Amino acid sequence: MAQYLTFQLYGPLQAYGTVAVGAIRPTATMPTRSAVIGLLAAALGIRRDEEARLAELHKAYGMAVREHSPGKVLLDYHTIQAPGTRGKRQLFCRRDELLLTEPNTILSRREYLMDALFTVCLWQRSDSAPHTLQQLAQALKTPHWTLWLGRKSCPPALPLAPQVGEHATPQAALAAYLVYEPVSATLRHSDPYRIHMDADELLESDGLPDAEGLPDLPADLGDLDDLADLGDLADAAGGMEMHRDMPLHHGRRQFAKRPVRVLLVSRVADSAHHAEMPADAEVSYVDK
Amino acid sequence: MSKFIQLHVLTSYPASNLNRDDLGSPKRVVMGNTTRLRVSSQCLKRAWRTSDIFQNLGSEHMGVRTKEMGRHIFTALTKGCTLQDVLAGKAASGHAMLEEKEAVAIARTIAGVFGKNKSAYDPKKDVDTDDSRRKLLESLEIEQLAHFSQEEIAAISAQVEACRQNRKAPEEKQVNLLRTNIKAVDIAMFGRMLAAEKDYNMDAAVQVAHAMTVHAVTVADDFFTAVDDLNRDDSGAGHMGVSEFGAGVFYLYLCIDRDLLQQNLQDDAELTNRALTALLQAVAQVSPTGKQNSFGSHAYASYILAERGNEQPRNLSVAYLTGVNSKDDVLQDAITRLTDTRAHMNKAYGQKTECAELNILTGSGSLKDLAAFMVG
Repeated sequence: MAQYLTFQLYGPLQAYGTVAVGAIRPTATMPTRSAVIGLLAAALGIRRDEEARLAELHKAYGMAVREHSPGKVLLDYHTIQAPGTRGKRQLFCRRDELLLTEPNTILSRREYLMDALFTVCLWQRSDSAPHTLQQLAQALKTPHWTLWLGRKSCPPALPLAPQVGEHATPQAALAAYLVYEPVSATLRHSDPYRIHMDADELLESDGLPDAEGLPDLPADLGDLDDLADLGDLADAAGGMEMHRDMPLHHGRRQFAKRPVRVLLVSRVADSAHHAEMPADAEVSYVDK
Repeated sequence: MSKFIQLHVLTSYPASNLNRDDLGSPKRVVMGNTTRLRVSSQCLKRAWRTSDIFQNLGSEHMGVRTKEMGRHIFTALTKGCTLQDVLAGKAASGHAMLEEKEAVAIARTIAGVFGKNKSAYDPKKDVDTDDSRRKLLESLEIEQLAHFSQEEIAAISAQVEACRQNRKAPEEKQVNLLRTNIKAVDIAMFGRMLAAEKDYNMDAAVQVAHAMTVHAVTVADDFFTAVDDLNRDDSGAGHMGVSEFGAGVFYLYLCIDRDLLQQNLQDDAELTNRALTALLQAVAQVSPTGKQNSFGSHAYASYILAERGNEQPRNLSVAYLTGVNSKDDVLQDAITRLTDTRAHMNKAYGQKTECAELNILTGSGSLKDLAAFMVG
């Protein structure tokens, strides 16, 4: 048994940015590690430029995310008016930029998730974590800054309602968490549902990037270019994916790849067995 | 003091196309498995921050729009009166009088902050000297009209008096302050991200969600023809087209991080309060400009619920997850659902927030009272 922190993420729009080059800003279909840790950082009042504290957060907590409702992707057509030629004039506010110069319009397409609902589960990887799970829960209840679900224009539409409890596995902790029923009942459920879980316990020997090792991309992770490189590990764990959402440096927006275990859980099995059953019994792995 | 101020706003737009996608149809979103009209957060913010309300920042006194501030500064310095006297058309009041050359330098430097200076007048190069006075004064104007709030005019006036003492033009940094103090409010609220100039980055203190209708909406097509007035032979139309539109009651949500706003405004509490008032006014009264000439859909908010507290803010859009499906009064149903949802949510999650409201259906509350509640 171990302690787990669980909370829900719901908003009519959410966006979890993945690799974005140029005008298309795609979203992942599940919350990314960088988004969840960013949420914690906002709740705790850790600024973007506090690289060491952010790295510490990433290192200290393991993460699993459960999908309740996958939602649908919205592609938003977005135009941005960049200030045009301003000569020697210094423009002090956006209004002046928009009204006093001939703007150059930039096109952008931004993806959002609509009608999606997730629960997140976090656990401490070591005793030396900078905050206890109870402290994290308290920070989420009375956050230091406003929280948002991936983009600032995506506020949470339910309290995150964090809970800390003892469970056998992350899967069991996620299964035990009750999401807000009136919302959950209205949305389309996925069956089976997905769980994305940090696969780091499988990769302990390879080591994750550590706080001191920033900002270089650790060779062992960087080499894991595709799933084949995971070799025996992939076979042992079933579904494995590589997600590039492990921040190396916030200021420079560098991300490392993170091995993620993908579980597919049938809702029938889940409800028949209830929370504290050994999770492996109800899990079927993704075919890869 | 409360950290977070949340605004829940219901605004009913008649037939309109406020915010379009690349094909010209109104932007949409699926919420609770039904399609709603949407106005994006960036569209709302653009309308608010370019509005006159933001220019005057909730001040009861309107500012002025002029090219001529430079010549008035010049007059004030050379005639020995204050800038306010000159603007009010009063006679001289016995301050020190500067040389024209000094006054020109000061006037150009200050006016130049608000717009591009016209080219300097050089009497030596002018062959026709009859009109030199008029030409000199004109050269002190700026190229475009600029807006001066009352606060800026007061700040400029103070700057003019300081220059009168020193007999020289102010440093660039000093005059830039004339604008940054007053005008950076929109950036303090909505933030700025410039990859190249990191020092100018600022985290937005105001979070604005995309506005969505509280009910399902089917976007309608308007097939239209335009007649060619001079065409006598052909019976066909001169032009045919289709324009898409929709109508609905929109739910808007904002969350203001009050501490961050004040921090972004260099800890100026008074300016923060004025900024909050201006934001409330803009949210309640300013519509996006999209297709306003075709639809004239300017709308004021019908209902505003303001909350303040320190607990995790949450949008109340779940009130409309199942779309309002009322035959009688969509607005009244939307208001009831919003207040009920707030009560249920606070009970379920053990949250407490203070609140105040403005309701056009019952005539209760006013913007002034709400602003006072926000300023708290």
